[in-house]
Amino acid sequence: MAEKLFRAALREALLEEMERDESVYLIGEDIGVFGGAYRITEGLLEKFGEMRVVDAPIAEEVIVGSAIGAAMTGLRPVVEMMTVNFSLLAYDQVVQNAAKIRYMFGGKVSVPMVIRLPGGAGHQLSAQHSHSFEVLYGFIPGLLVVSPTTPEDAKGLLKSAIRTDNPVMFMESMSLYNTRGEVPDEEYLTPIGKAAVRREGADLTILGVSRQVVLALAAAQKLEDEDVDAEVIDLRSIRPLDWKTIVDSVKKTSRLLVVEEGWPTFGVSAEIAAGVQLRAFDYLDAPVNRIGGAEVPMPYNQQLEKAAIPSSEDIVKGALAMVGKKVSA
Amino acid sequence: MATKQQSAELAGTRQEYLQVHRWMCLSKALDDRMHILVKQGRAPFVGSARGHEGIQVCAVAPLDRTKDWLVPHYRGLGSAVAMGLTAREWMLAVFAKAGDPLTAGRNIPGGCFGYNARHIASVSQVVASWLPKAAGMAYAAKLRQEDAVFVCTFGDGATSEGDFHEALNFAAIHKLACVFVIENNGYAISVPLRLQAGNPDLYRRAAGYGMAGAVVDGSDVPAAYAACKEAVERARRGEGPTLLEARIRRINSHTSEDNQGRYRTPEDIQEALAFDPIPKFERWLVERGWLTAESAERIRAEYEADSAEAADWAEQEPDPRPEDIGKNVYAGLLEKGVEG
Repeated sequence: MAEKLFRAALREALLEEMERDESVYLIGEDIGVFGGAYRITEGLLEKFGEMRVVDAPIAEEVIVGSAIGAAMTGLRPVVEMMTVNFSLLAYDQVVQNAAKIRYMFGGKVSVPMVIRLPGGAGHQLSAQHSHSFEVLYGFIPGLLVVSPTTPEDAKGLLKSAIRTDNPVMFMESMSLYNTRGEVPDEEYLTPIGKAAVRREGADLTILGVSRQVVLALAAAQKLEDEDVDAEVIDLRSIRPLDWKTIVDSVKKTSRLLVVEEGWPTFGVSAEIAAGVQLRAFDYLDAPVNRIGGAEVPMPYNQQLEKAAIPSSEDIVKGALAMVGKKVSA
Repeated sequence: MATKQQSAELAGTRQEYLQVHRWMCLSKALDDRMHILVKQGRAPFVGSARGHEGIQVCAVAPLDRTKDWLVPHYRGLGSAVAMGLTAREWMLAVFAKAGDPLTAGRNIPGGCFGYNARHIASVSQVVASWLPKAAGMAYAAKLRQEDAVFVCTFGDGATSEGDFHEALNFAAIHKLACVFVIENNGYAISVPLRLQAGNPDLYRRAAGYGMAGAVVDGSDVPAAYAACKEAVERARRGEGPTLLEARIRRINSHTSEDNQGRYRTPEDIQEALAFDPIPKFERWLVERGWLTAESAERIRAEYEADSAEAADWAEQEPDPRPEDIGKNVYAGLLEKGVEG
């Protein structure tokens, strides 16, 4: 094990998979000479050449559409969208094509591709550059949607995403790129579709979507001081959802708080709340609670932006209310 | 009668032209049969390729079916037939049967189809969204250092989409082996070309992208054949993509859901018949002594019978099973659904 940056772990996954499999190639805006807007692809152009590290024109439909075409012939493209926000320009290609092609043609054509989607708020990038769009892709049958929160999973999930024959939407929280964590030295894969229990607890379960896991762990630390023992689950996979891990935890703690950065109306947390009450109604001692982003376009002003996204204090408050306590003075 | 001199200037051989004629006749026969099936209430839908057969067949006739691909639009029956699609295969798709090799009964035939075994790439019903895929397939071939050519067909309406621009720009940047064929029939459903494009010479856009551009009368089969062959050979030589505009007339309504009498004058519809490429090409073949009126009649009758037989046969084939509804959403272990 060695401690590595989240961004370095992503780069390692790309490097290793490109070395292992000649059918893997990268395409995106500024990913070549510039090394990527977030420096994830740095040095890969020099190593693999222009044909396998494609600096694309600013044209999201053809970046994704051409990758679909290449994937249909057996290549394994890894697309970098400069941000998840621009992926809306290619939404038709993803939803109407990548997600459906296998089904529409009787299983005879697969689309083995990955679309990397840096996203999330917290950088004063305002209304059009701060989205959390897990739900826009989690809604679509035919797609796999994952979101790592540790460097270990960033590498392991990206390698799994490259190797599956399904299209994968790979959600990356921009705020996590500079975080550090242990990454195994040996070859490993993180399975798609499995949540991870990050902290065991008895009093309630806090389920974090993407970066909210980090906030949930900080909140759990503070809750200790209030004699509340919180379990924290890292969702990791938005589609498919790992109902077993979620429901097992709820059966143990009887309380569930789901936290996401995106707008909660029709959100990932709504789906989880609906699924949990169907699967574990008799075990619940409180309604499933949800915390999400404010339902406004993300404001630019720093204080307003802070107010628009969940904080660990919000999670502490929400958790205490669920166990019948108030924040101590 | 053709002189030796004229024959030598032709792009194709007698044999090739006769094959083109056969494919056109099969396409028309299947098309006509689908209209009968819809009228009889036996099939739900038809998107007609009538009037497009000449350019559709010519666009793929010069391809090497062992390595080249067709990336067609939904009105692409003529091209599909020329890639080897049989009457029975098509009718399985028309009736959406379990054995339908195009979509396994999951998609509208003439709306959206793909067939790997015949090198026909899956298309989409979202106008122009298959153009970026054609560019991507050609990019993949270039990466693999293969000299495969990709013929991508679409209508004049598709040229207004952003996907058209992005795909052509990308293909030009990477000098991809694509032939983009505009089957310009003057209408996008009901909207005429004058409301679709400021410059009606669609092929001139090629210059803006830095690729070869050409225009041809798509009802003139020998001319269309020559233009398509030239574009395919250019792509094969690694000299990049071509935008080829074929001007044709749409003979039928957009689909069986449409009534073109609402937006076309009777004169316009009548005039389109004069541009039916099949009788026009048959006259040309007869003039050269390569076909007789009787043998043309026999060929058409043969395909009409084949199409009718294929329809009756396919109609009796089994439907897909409802319990298989969830199959093929995902590949591999996830095939049973997201809860796997």
